[in-house]
Amino acid sequence: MMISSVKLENVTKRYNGTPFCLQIDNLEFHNRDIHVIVGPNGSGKSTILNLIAFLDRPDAGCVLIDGRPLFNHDRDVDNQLRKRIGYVRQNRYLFDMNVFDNVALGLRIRKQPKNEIASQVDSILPLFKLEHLEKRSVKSLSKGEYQKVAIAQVLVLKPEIILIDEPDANIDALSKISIEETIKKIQKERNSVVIMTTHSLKQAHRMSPRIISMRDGKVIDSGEENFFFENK
Amino acid sequence: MSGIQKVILFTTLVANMVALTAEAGETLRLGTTTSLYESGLLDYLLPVFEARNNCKLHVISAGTGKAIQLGKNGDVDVLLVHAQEAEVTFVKEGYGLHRTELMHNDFIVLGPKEDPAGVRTAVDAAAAVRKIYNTAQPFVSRGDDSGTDKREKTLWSQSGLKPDASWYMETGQGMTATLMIADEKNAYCLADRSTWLFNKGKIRLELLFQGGKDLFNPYSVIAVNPQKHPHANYLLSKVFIKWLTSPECKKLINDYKIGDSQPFFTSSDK
Amino acid sequence: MLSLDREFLSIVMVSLSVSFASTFLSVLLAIPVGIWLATARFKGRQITITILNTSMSIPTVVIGLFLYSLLSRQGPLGGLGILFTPAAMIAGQCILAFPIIAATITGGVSNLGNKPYIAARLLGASHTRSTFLFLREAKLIVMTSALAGFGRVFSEIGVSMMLGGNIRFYTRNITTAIALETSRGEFGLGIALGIVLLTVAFLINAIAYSFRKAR
Repeated sequence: MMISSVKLENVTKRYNGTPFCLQIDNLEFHNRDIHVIVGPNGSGKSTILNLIAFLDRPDAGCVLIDGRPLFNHDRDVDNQLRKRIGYVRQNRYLFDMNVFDNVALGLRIRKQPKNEIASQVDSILPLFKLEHLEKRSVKSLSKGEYQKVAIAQVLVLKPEIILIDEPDANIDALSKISIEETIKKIQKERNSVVIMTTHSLKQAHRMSPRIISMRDGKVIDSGEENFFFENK
Repeated sequence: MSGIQKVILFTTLVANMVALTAEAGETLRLGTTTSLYESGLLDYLLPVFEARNNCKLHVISAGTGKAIQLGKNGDVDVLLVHAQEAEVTFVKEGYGLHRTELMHNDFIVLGPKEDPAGVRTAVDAAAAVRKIYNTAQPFVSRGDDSGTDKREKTLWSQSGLKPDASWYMETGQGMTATLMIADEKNAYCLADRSTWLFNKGKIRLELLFQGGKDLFNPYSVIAVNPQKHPHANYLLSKVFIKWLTSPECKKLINDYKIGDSQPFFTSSDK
Repeated sequence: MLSLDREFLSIVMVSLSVSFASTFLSVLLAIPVGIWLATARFKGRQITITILNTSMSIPTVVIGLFLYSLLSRQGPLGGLGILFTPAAMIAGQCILAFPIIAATITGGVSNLGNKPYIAARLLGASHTRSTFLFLREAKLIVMTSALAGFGRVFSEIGVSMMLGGNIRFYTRNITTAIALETSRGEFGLGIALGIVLLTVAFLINAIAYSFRKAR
C-alpha cells in the first residue's frame, strides 16, 4: 500500500537552551501535490522535516504516517517505514566517491543486484543532466551539480515520502529551474508525498499552490482552505 | 603507491619486526665500558663466541660506573669492566660471581704537540697531572664514573689537587667522544691506550706520558649473581667467562692489533 | 669493520620497523579515542583535549627516562624484560606518537561532524554500516595523522637511545647510529645515515602534501 498521508497532531518540540518552540495543532500532507513550507530561518521548517524523518521525537503530540504513529514499540515496522522516506537535508553530505557510486549508495545498501542498480542510476542521472559526470569525484562538482547529485541520491530509491530542505539555496537559476521541474515530474509520476521547504516565496509559488507559511514555530497560513479536506 | 606495493612493504616491515624481536637462539647481555667497546676488540672477538654457542651477544656499552649499575639492576647478565675497587665492592655486596682478571693495558696522557705544561718530562703520572694543574692547561675529563674516569680522579686526589672548572672540563661521555672533544680543544686528556690507537689517525693530540703502576689498567669479567637476579643468563655467562679465559681466546686477544700495535695483553695467571 | 652494507641496512631497517610498528599501534589506539573525544560530550572534555595537545611537546628524553625507570629490572615492569629490546623502543615511541595522532584525528573528526553517519542512516544503512561509511570518510584524516605520528618518531633519538641501548644489529637505528658515529668522529657514516633520514622525512612530507592537494 502506497503511503498517502502524513499528519502532525498537537505537536510541540523545544530545543534545550533556545527560546524556539514548534507548535503545530493540525497539519496534514497528502500525496496528490507538492507541499511547500515557507518561512524565515528558525521558523521551524526543518524541525517538521526532522520529525517526519525519524530523526527527532516530538515533546508532545504525534506524527502519523497513514494513521500510524512513528516510534512505535515495533522496531521492525519503524525500520521498514524509514526505508520508504527519502530526506535531502540542508546539511547535505556526499561521500568521497564518484557521482555514480554516491547515487548508487542507497541501492547498494538495500542489496539490489548490480545490473538493476546500474539501470536505476542510469535512468535518473539524465533527469538532472548528470550523465556526463558519472565518473567524476564529487569533490570536483559545482554547487549546482552537488545539490543535484544529493537529490538524485535520494530520489533513485523511489521513496514514497520525499522531504527536501531548501533544495537550491545558493545555486544558479538554470540549475534551480531544472531541479524544480524534475521534482514536479517525479511527484506526478509516482504520487509521492512531497514536502519541500524554502525561504523564497517566489520559488514556493513556482512549485505549488499549497503553501504553508510559518513563523516562530507556528503555522500562520495553511494555504488553500480546501486542501485539508480533500480526499484521494 | 599501488595496493600491491603497499602490501609488500607492509609485510616486509612486519616480517623484519618479527625477526628483530624473536630471539635467535639464546641471548647474553654484556655490559661493558665504552673504552673497551670502542677499541673494536669485541667486534672482533664476540662473533667467534656467538657462532660457537649459537647465541647472540647484546653489548650495552656505557661508562664502567653505569655498566656496574646495570649489573646491580639485573639489566645485563655479565660485565666486562675495568674499575678494580668498584668491581670488588660489586662482588662483595653479592651482585657478582666469578670475577676473573682477563687482560690489561695501560692509560696514557695525551696532549697538544707543543706540550705547554711540559708533561713529556714528568717522572710519573702524579707529576704529569701536577704540571697540568700548575700551568692551568685545559684538560678534558670523562666525568662519567667510568673506569678511566675513576683512575683519572684518583690521580688528582692522591696528590691533593682539585682541578678548577676554568680549565677542567667533564664531558660525561665515552672515551672516543671525550677524545674528540679534547682534540677539538687541543687539551690534555687521560685515555686508555686501545682507544687512542684506534683513533690515532683522526686526531692531532700526541702521546706525552706513559708507564708506571699508576697507569696500569686491568680488565675483569664478572657474572651477575643469579641469586640476586634469577632471570639472568647465568649458565651462558659461565660459559662465556670460561671461554674468555681459555688459551684459544687469550691468543685471539693477544693477536688483536690496531694498526701495528697490540692494545691488550692477557693476564699471565689463570 | 664488518660489512658496512649489512650494518647500514640493519640500521635503516631498525628505524623503519620500529617507527612503523609504533605508528601503527598508536593509530589503532588513537582512532577510537580521537573519535570519542570529537563526538562525546562530558565534563572534562576540554581539559582532556588540552592535555592531549600539550603532550605533543613532551621531550623525548623525559619519556625515555620515565619508561626506563618502569622497565628496568628494578622497576615495576621489570618482569617484562623488554628493556634494551626493540619492544621497549616501540613502547616509548607509541607514547610519543599517540598524542599527535589522537589530536589530529580529534580535530579532523570534529570538522567532519556526524554528517556522514546521518547521511548514511538516512539512506537506510544500519548503525554498523553507517559507522563503517563514516570511517571511510575519515580515512584521509587517519592517514594524515599517521604520517604526522611517523614523522615524529622516525627522527627522534631520546627514546630510542635510552630504551634501546643502541645495540648493534639489534636496537641501533638511524638516529642512535648517527649519534654514535659522530661521537666517534666517523662523519662519513653519520652523514650517509643523515641523508637517509632526510630522504624519508622528505618523502613523508611529500605524501602528506599530495593528500592535501587531493582535497
